[in-house]
Amino acid sequence: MKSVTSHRELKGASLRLLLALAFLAPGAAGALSLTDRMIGVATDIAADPASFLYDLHQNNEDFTPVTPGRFVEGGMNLFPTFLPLAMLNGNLKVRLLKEHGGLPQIDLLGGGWSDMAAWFVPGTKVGWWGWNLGAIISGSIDPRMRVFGGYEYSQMRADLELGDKIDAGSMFGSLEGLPDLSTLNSIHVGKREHYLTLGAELLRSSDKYLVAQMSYGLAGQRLAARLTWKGKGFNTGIAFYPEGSWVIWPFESFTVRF
Amino acid sequence: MRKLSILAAVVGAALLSAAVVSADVKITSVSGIVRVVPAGGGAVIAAAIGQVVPTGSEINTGENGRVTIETSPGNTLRLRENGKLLVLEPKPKENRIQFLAGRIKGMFHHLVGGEKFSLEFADNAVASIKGTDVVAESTDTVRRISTIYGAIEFHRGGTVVLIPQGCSASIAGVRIKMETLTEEQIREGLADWEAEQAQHKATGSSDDMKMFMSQAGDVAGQAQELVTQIREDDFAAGRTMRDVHGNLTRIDQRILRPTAREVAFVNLCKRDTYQYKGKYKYTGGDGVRFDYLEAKVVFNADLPSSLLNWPSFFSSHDGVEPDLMQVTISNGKPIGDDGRDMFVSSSQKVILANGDKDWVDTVTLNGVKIESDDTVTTVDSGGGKDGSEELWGMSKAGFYFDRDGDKIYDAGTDTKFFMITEGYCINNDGKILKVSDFLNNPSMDPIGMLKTVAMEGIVAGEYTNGSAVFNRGNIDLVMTPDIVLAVVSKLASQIPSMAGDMKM
Repeated sequence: MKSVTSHRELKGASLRLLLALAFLAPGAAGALSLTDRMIGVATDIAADPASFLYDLHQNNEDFTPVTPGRFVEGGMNLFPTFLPLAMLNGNLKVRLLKEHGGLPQIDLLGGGWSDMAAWFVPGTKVGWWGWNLGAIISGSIDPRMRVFGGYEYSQMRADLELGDKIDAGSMFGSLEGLPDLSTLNSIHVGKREHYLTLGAELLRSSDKYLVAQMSYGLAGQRLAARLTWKGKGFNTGIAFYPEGSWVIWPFESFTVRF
Repeated sequence: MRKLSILAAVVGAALLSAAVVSADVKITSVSGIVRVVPAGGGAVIAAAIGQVVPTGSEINTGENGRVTIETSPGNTLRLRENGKLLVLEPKPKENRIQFLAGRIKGMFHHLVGGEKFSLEFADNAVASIKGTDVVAESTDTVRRISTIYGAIEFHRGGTVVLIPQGCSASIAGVRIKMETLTEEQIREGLADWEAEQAQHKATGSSDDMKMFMSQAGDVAGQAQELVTQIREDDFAAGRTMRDVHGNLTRIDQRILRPTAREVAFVNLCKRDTYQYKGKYKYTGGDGVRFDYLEAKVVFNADLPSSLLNWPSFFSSHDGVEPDLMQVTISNGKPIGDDGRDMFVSSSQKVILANGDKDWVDTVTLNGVKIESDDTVTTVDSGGGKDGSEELWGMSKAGFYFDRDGDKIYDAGTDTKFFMITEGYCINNDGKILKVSDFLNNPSMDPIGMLKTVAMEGIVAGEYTNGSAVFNRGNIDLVMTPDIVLAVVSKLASQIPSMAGDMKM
C-alpha cells in the first residue's frame, strides 16, 4: 500500500515539475533572460502570428485512439484554449472497427472550435476557428500497450474585418501627398496541415493511460509531440511544438467515453 | 396471398435461425484425462476430438487434463487441469458456458453480427464477451477474469463494470475488484496454450498412461487408487516412430502394479491419423487411433513392491503362482468408447473337485467367445524365408463365434469368420526389415539395434460373406523391445545385491 502511495506521489511530483518546466522553458532556452526570451517570443508571434494561433488551435485536438472497449468518445479542451481564451471546442472519436482476430482498431476522429470572444467584438467582424479530421489505426503489442498511427487534416483560420479603415501612415507629415499605402481594413491568416502521427498508449491502471505521440506535418514540415496522462474523465498533458513561438504547452481536457 | 404467407414464414424462420447461435459445443483437442458428464448425470464418458457436447453436459479435466472446445465456429475455450465447465442453454446470438472450476483461456475472434459469449461464474457474475481474449480462474477462493486483448463487460447483481484490456476483475465479497494485470498474468495470458497442449500430448506418456488407468479403473470404481499406484519408479519406455503404413506413431509402455497381487504390462499406440497399407482390405476410419495391449498376471499372494526383489521372493515362496493371466488388445479407450473392438485372451486357474488345479482358457472378441474352426485351416501365409526376404507374415484362419459356449459350431447360433493377422518387423522409419539387416551389419551393437527395431501386429476379422467383423477395421499395435531393455538393464545393475539376497 505504501509503495502504491509513493508511486502516486512520485508521479504527481513529476507532472508538476514538467508543468513548471513548461512555463520556464521558454525563458530558460538559450540561456537568455526571461525578459529577452519573452521579447523573442513576442517578435516571433508578430512575425508569424498564424503559427502561434495554429499552435493554440492544435491544443484543442485529441488525436488518440478510442479507449479499448469503448466505441465513442467525446471531449473538449479546458486549458489553455477554453480557459482563458474562450475557444469553444469539441471533438468526437468513433470506433469503426474493433481490434480482433489480428485486425487493428480503426477510429474516425474529428473536432472543431470557434473563439467565443471574437463573437462579441463590437464594430468588427472577427472569426477565429478551426477544425480537424483524421483516422487512426491502432493495435496491441501487449495487453497493456497499443501502438497507433494515423493521418489528420487540420486547419485554422483567423479573419478580422474592420468597420473603418485604419490609416497607418497618412497622418505623418513626411508622407503627405503620397498615395495612402498603409490603409488596413482586414487581416486574414490561416494555416493548414497534413499530419502523420505515430504513438503508443500504455495502460497505467484501470481506465487510465499514458499516451505518447509524435506528428509530422507534411505541408509545413513541422513536428509536434504530445504526452497525455489520460484519466477516467480528465486528461492532463504537455504538447511540444519545437518550431513554434511557444514550445511547451501544458493542457487539460475533459473526456466522456461510451 | 397464400404464397406470400409461406414466403413470409420462410423468411421469418430464416431470420430467426440466423439470430440463434448454434448450441453445438464441440471438442477440438484433448490431452490427459478429460471427461464428459451427460446432462442429468448419466454415465461419464471420455472426451473425444470432434465430440459434440450437448446442452446441460459437464466437461471436466483431471490432473494434467486439458481440453479445447469450440463454442461457435472459430471461437475457442481452453480448459486446463482440474477444471469444470457446464454447457448452458444458448440464448439468441449468445452461447453460454458456466465456469465452475479451474483455469480457462478463451479466444473469441469470430463473433459476428452482434454475437456474444457469456461466461457465467458462481455468485451471479457473468462476463459478456465480444471479440476478446480472456483468461479466467475459478477456485473456492478466487474468481477472476482477465482481458488479454479487448474489453469485456462484467455483470453482477445489476452492476455492470467494463474491464478494459490488460485488466482483471475479481469478485471480492459483494464488490468487483479491478486491477491491472501483473507480468505473470500477462505471460500466462499470452502463452500459447494450444502449443502447450500439443506438446503435452506429444510428450505426456505418463498422462496417457494415467488416463488409460483412470478410464480402466473407473469401471471398477478404483480410478484414484490405480492412478496413485502409478509410481515414478515404474518401468516405462516410449518411442515415436512410423508404422509400416507410414503413420506417425507414439508408443508408450509401462509395467504397472495396479494391486499388490497384480502386475501388468501396458503398450499404448497413438496415431493422429491412420492410413492402412497392409495386405488385406481395411474398412475403418482414417482419424485418430488409440490401440493398446494390456497383459496382466494376478498372483495368489501379495508380491514385493519392487520388481528387483522378486527373484529372491519367488525362490523363498514356492506356493506363489498366478491365478489369472490375461491379454487384452483393443482399438479404443477402456470406457466411453462404444465403437471399439476388444480381443481378450485369458487363462483362469480353477480348483477341480479332486483338488487338482486346472486352467480354463477363454478367448472373446467384443464380448463373445470365439473358437478356432479346425475344419478351416490357415488359408494364406507368407513371410521371410531366407535372409534376402523381408520379415513379415500373415495368416487367415477360420474361427467362429461360439455364442452358446459349447465349443461346437452350431450353424443356427454360431457365426463363422476368418481371423486375419499380419506381423511385421520394422525399423523406426516403418521400413520392413530383412534378416540381412541384422546379419550383415556387424558394427551395430545389440542394444543400439534393438532401439531401432519394432514389431507391428495387425488383427482383423472377415465374415465368410466378405464383410468386416471389427467395428473399426482392425486392431493395429506397434510394440518395441524398449521396456524389456529397461527391465534388463535395471535388473543387471542389481545382480550383485540380488545374488546376495538369494544366498540368504
